[in-house]
Amino acid sequence: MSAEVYEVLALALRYWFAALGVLIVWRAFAWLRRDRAAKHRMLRTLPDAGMIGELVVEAGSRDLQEGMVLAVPWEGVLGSVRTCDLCVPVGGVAREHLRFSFDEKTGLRIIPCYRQMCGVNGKAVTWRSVRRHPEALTHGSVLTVGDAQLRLRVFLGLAEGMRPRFAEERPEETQAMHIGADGAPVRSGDLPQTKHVSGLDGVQYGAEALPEQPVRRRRSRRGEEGEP
Amino acid sequence: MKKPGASSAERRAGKRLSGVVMLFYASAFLLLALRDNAWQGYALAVGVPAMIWLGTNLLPHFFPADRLLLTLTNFLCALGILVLYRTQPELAYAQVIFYGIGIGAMALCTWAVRLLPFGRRMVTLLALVSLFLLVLPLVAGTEKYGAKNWIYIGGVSFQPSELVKLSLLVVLASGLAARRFWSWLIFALACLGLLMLQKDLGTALLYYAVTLLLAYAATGSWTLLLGGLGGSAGAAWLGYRMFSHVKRRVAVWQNPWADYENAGYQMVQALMALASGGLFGMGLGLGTPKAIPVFETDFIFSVICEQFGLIFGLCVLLIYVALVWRGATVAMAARRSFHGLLAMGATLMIGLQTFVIIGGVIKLIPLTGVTLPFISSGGSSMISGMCLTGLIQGVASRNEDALAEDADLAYMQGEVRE
Repeated sequence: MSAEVYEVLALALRYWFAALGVLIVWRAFAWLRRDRAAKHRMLRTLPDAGMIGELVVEAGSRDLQEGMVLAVPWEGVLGSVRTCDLCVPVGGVAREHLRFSFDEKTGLRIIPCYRQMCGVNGKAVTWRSVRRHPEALTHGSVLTVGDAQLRLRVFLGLAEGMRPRFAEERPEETQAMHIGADGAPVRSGDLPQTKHVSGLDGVQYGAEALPEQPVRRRRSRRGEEGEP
Repeated sequence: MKKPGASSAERRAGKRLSGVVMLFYASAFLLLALRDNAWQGYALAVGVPAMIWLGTNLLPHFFPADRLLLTLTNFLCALGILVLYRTQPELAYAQVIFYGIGIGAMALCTWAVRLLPFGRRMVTLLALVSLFLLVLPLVAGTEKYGAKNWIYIGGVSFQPSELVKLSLLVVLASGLAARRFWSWLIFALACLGLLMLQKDLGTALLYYAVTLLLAYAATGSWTLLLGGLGGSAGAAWLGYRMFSHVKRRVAVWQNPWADYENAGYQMVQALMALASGGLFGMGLGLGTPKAIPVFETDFIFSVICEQFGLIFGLCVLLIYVALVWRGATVAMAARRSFHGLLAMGATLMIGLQTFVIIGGVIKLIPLTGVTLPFISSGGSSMISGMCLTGLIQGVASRNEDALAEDADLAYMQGEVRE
């Protein structure tokens, strides 16, 4: 091909390449937008996606009332500030009180932050003691942080490898495994039973004693087929 | 658990985008082949689109891949091959080989993120090997463009700092996720110190910026961020006082025309190339891109703008933006802090490196010696870029698995609890 013909062709094709470049960018961003919308639609049908269970407030404060439910992610920080993954705004809870991480074999591992402590089923756990004996919450365990008392409910399917150790192995001790707001031990039978428990989305759950099996996840009516 | 796969909508979107990309490269390489009448041009006109089709449609069958990331990465890699073929064909052929190796490295990184636990021992071993790799150029390295950061082994040269980028991200993500303050800080400082000794200030800047931003992402500490920014300002001032080539680069950035025949020659040529390209470019195969010194690495963006124009240059920038956006989305959807930080670190590395080099080329900031990810000539740069994409792909595939598991569990369990 002669240089003149090539020059004309190359000059003409400049607009073609620019147009294709713009089209590539347009389609890439359209794909991004479509994916974002699809993800939002899917997450609306799976309100508990990314969560391993719930912490039900059995004793709290004015800002964290009895019966409230806190969704528990796979890992994060529990503290009194809103930036924490689990916000527990009660007295005695530090800004960042403890870190937690879920392991399917052992449960929800608890690591108190420096110089902090908490209670797991009545047993005191400090940042020092956890190095020697890691503590983990299983389904039904009670976590005491500051003035708050929270009971863990793990979603069905995640707790299959975990049995509620205290209920099966030491049933007589289960009753005494709670520390009340005043620091005195409280039997589980003496804990106030709530009529209704409000979920994060305002759905009212029926009053129930602690279920023997882990709880079912919530699922929106919309995605009935189960397909994203 | 159901194995997640691409939905039909995603496959359609992938075909639409990869179709346009293939059309672009088929026409571009065909045009260059008509100019040279060389069989290699015709082979690339068929081979590169085929590679793109294989890379975006066939590869996801072999390893879990985010198709959009794959398509965008393939587009950028092929653009590098195209521009190098236009200017220096031998470099293009080598780049094709590096691209092939890069695909393998990307798959390896994806599987590593999916399968390896990245426990404390593994991360410590990785850190020690990385520090050894950074010490190697000081002991047995070769100086190139003022920095002693290259190693020659059996006729093959590579830059250890490009590979150590990956282990930096793993160590940072592991330490920050586990709140082990000293481990990641000591490693990061050691890497920075060794890079300063190599006089590879561009890479040191990148490492520092990624470490600071990742630490902020993990802790949310404004004190750390502001302290780090203050520290970087102090280090920049110190670097300006200590290194003469830093002073030269700042002077060239302020006014390249003052010494356009010597120190400012490279910048002047790059700016003239950008300007002469105009909106639509000089035309592929026309112009004089080889007049720019080091056009194949640092100033390849100027060559792109000279050939294809500023509109296309902006499109390339937007492709990088889309890549970074996708990476950030993947990072925010991660279930574990380690994976989120790993994906965020890889995304930041790609984004910051792109900003630093393009900013230097268009005289927004002083020029530093880093390469344009995926596009610049060089095996180390290509492979490390593909590995960074592989890390993001690995986290993306874990996110998809977790979401599919959630959907399965919800489907098995039935109605809403009332």
